[in-house]
Amino acid sequence: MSFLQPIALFGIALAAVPILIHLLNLMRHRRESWAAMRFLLKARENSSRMSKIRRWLTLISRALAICSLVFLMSRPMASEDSSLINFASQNPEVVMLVMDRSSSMQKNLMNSSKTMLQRGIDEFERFSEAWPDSKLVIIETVFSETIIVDKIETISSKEMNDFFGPTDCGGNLPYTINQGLNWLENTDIGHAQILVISDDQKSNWKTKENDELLKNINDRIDKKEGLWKLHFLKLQPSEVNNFSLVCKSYREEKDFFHPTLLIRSNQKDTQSLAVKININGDLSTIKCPFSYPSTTWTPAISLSDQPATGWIKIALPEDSFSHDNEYFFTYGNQAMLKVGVQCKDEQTRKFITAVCKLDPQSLYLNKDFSPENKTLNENDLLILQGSSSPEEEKQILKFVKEGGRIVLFPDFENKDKSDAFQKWRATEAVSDNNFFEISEWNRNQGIFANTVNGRELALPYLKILKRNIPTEGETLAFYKDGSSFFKRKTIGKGVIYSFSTLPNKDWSSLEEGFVLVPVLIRIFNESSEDPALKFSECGDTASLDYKGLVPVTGNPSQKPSLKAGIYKDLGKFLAFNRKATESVNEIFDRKQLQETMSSSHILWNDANATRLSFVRAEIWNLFLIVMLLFLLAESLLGLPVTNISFSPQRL
Amino acid sequence: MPRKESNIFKYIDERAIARFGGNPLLSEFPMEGNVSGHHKSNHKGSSVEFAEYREYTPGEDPKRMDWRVLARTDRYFLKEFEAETNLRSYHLLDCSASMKFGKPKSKLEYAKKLIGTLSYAYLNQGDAVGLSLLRPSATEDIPARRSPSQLQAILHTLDDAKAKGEDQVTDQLHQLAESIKSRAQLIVYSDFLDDPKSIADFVHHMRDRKHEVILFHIMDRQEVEFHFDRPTRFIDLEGGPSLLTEPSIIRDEYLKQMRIHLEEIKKICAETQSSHFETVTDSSIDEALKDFSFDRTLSSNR
Repeated sequence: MSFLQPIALFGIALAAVPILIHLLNLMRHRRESWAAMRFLLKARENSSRMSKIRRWLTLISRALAICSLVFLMSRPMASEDSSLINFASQNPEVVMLVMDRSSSMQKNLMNSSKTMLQRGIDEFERFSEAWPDSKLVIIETVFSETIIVDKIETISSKEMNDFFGPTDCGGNLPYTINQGLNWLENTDIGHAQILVISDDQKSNWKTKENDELLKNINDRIDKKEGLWKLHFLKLQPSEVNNFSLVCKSYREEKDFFHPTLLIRSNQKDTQSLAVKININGDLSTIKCPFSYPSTTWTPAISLSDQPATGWIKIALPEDSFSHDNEYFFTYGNQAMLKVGVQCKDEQTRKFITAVCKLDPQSLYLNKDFSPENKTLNENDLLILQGSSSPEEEKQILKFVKEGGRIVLFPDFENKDKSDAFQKWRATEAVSDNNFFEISEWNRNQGIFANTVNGRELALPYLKILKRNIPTEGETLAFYKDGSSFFKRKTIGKGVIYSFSTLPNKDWSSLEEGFVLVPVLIRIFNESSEDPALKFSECGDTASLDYKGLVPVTGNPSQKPSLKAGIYKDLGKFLAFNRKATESVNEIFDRKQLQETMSSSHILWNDANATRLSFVRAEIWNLFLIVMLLFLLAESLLGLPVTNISFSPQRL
Repeated sequence: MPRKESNIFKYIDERAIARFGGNPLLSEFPMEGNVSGHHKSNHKGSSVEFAEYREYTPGEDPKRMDWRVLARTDRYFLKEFEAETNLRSYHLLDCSASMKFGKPKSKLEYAKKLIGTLSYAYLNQGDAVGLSLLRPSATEDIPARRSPSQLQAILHTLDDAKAKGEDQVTDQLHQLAESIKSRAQLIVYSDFLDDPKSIADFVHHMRDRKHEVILFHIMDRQEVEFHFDRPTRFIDLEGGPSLLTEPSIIRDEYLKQMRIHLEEIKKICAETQSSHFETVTDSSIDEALKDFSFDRTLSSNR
């Protein structure tokens, strides 16, 4: 039992008032001259034991009536596992919520207008009310990391939506519960109440695969002998009309995209669905014939008049649960490296443009690139030569910090120079018939590593007449005099590669290509290392690893780890979809789980549509009744045992 | 000694006199008066009230022989008539300290009014009335007389009467039972808080002396109902130990003790053919005398 107004409990001291009044009355008695003393003395002598008991019972009744009133005013709340008479029940140090945050939890609770997730949070709110002084800890299925919140309202606040809000992910409840128990153990929590809210979807429990883990959880709870109590709350989804869409596979042809879609419904009829197709923002509708219970459909989506790479969103008509109605695709080669080139030296520009055109299948040269316009973020790699304006430098630096890469070549200026990306020494030139020679580089790995068949790059054969030495970053190749030929520097998530000379006849023999072409190709490869994501799902490791993706569809602040949609990573489009298993509405049989987890300290509850399961109803009415009973008892005890009255009469 | 000026007639309740003044107050037992009156005498004699026929025994006065019966039956019968005489009514007032209890009127004051009223009534019908104030030390007696000045004497004595001392008046009652020689009506006004045995003793003693005994049991409403709302220290009016108690707790037992006491007194009266009248000080005198008057008037019809 807990109290909403515990401060009122200080009023218990008032229970002493009847006793004090009794004592005060005895002290402040009246004096009465009396004739019939013999009756009084006899009456006192014969005053039965029962009378004394009645007097004490009356006093006790009054004191208890006051206690009841005090309890009533303290607004007592009934709790599930602490009985009324067990006031010694210890408050748990931690009240933990294990939250099934899978996509299916977005469905409405049966016979309720609230989603199961919202309802679960409400239930936890009621659950935790019993222990207002306990620490609130939440662990959910997406990140499986514990979060301590200072107050229960935090869970429902918009700011915490990323941590406790709805997702398009799946989940692994046994793993998350185990993580929660690990945290309790590592932080030496003695007494804890744990509430697990879930819709018991098979795919989120994987009871067969997690059998050992579930047994382990059961044993751990059992070992704690009641100090840790695990409450499972099953939330039953509503059975209303719902269509769901998942993709089994897809095929790309020239100008056509063929996704193979599986459409399921719980509505027993055949109908034509108006499926919306959104290609790079262009909306169109295709009719899909659907028959219960599922239909596999492969539409031909025309990509003519569309860019070489882009995205497609396929959406079923709105229904009661719209989260499973959409599917996202990307088409074209999303792994193609987009390179922007800006060189003031014409020879350098020509050479680099030629290198970029060597493999048009994997490299796209952005001819219109300019740091001034907003196409900077369309590129994955920039190759820059010559000075830039401060504004351009600012834009480029931001690009690098967000994960972009740039290759820098020296400027023509014959002086020490410092820009936002690199510090350069003044231009050095050799005397006649002499060259700057490269003597050392990392042959084992990196850009200058030997080829697969063990051949070295022909760095020693380079004839370098002029050089501007970059001074910042890690030197990957050295001149004979120890200066840096090539440096690699990391800023933010991005990388800056700096050459000390130009592919220009006046500067070096780099323009012959035997060194610069393989080095640039290796830089291109290094910049293209990110895997192309074709069938990524929310909550996958890949989606968790990706940071800084810009959502193309949906909310501008949404993240691929939580929310399905099209995201953009510099020049690439990435599609993240709802966990496919979330569309399989299979609920596991709880009896099996109860057999596995048979500890008496594990409690099983079903959410009720009309009232909260952990509602600790204010039990003031009980105390009101108790108080009235004590007052009644007090009144009855005050009545004479027999109605003795005297009326003067004749013998 | 000159009498002090006071309204002594306040002890005569006019309402009671107006209500019962016309009714004769007759004794229940034959009395031994010295003059003719309304009360039955233990002597037979000439009178208008026929008593019985009795066979003549030689030696008796032949004047009382009924010649008509002799003529019809040829047998000698004597015709006897009830003798009627006056009575001596003695009012015995308990003046112990317990009698000063009572609000707004003390039991003593109430008893005085009863005595004054009855004295007037008895004197008015030609009976002799006497008064004895029962005090622990000694009694103050006014012998029974039927002279009109007797009322004034009684009322003055009553006016001077004060309640004090311990309640040991039973000795005085025994003495009075002995000292009053001929049959008389003894009316005792008291709260009868003595031990029932001592009450029984003096009632028996009086009855043995052929007196008619009437007990006026005077109580206060507070004593009868015992309603107190908070702890009270009861101080004995007769100098006994005080008692601090919660009245509500012992009320039942107190009332039970009082009831037992009353029943014992009633039992004593029943055994001795005495009369017992209970009254409380907040009731009017005419109401208190209603039963008494009814009984006395009824006696004349028996």
